[in-house]
Amino acid sequence: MSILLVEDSEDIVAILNRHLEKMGYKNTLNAASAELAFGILGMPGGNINKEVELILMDIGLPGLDGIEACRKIKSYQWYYDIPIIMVTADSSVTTLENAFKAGAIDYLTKPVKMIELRARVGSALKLKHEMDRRKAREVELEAMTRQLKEANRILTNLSYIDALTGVANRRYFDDYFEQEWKKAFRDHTFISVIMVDIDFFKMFNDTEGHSAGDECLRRIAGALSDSMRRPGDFIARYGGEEFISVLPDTSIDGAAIIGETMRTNVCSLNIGFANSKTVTVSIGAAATIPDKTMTIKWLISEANRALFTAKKSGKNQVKVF
Amino acid sequence: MADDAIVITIDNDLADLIPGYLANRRNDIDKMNSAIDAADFETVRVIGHQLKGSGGGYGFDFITDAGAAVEQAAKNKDVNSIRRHIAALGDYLNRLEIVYE
Repeated sequence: MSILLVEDSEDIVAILNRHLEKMGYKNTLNAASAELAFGILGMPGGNINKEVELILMDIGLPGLDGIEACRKIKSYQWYYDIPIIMVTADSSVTTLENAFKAGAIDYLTKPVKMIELRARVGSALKLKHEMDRRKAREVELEAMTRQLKEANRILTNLSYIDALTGVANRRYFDDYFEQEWKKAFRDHTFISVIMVDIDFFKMFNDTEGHSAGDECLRRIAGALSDSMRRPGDFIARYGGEEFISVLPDTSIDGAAIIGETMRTNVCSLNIGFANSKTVTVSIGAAATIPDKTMTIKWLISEANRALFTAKKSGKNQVKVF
Repeated sequence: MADDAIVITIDNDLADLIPGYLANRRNDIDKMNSAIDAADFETVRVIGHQLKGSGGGYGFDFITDAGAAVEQAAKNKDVNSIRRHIAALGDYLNRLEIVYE
């Protein structure tokens, strides 16, 4: 890291450089004018000089004076926190007030005494290093907060997703259905529930094995997801070989259409088993405009009843209540 | 050591800087004398200001004081005062004896 000394008098540059060397600052950069200092600092349009951590600035410079130079340097975001100590033989109140207004942190009176230089440079750098540590800590904390948020997001997703099929799980369905039910109640709109059960799934597992059974569940989950038409339509694994869907703002006719789409999509998978059979699903749907006398449980039981009827009627079909 | 010597003790670490610094002050005296002859008070003022700013830093408080006096006299365009202070500075440089420690 470096100290930038902006001073036009060679005699003062020589003595200050020597003092700074004695204090352990070997890499002092020198500029005899504000313009040369701007060059070192990459102003304007150059590369910001991140090596400079303190600037000692003479006020009475040829060309642009030290106070204006200070103001310009401080207008750069990177240099905003780089301390500038003004070095001046003119320590009048007005001059110092202008220097502080321009962004200087401290001042040294010429002729500069070694003990004063040591104290002022030391405390300015101590403050700078403390600020740097705090900024680094802030960045660290921000990064940790981001990581934590991301971890929470992943955990939330995991807790809502059925690990085997990748569709929403029962828990997420319960939350979602409750929200949509309340919304339908408020808005006096239809809400539909579709229950889906895989036909002969026990037989499938017995003949094809559990691994094929898992793969079958995954493919059917995909086909059911693909059957969802609108953003609010929602499919979840209800348990075992059962899936459930909520369709907001959908009457029983709409639910019957989606149910039929689900059934044909599953058929189209053409998953064979037990030599001659193909995997199919039975589907039951129910719809209502919720009122105070109804419950979520009731609508699900209605859809279940329709599903039961579909099963009883020969499977691979859609029944609606 | 001459009887009228002005002895100044300077830190050993600065020893290599001192001869050059003092040589520059002799040049300053020449420049200021020429500037006075040309009634160029601004040049005198600037040199006086620089002497004021540097002298004490090297350990020569007299140079700082003389510089301040020259600067003020130049502002006042007081030729006699300027000459008097330049002469005093010259005398100081002539009698100066440095002891390094």
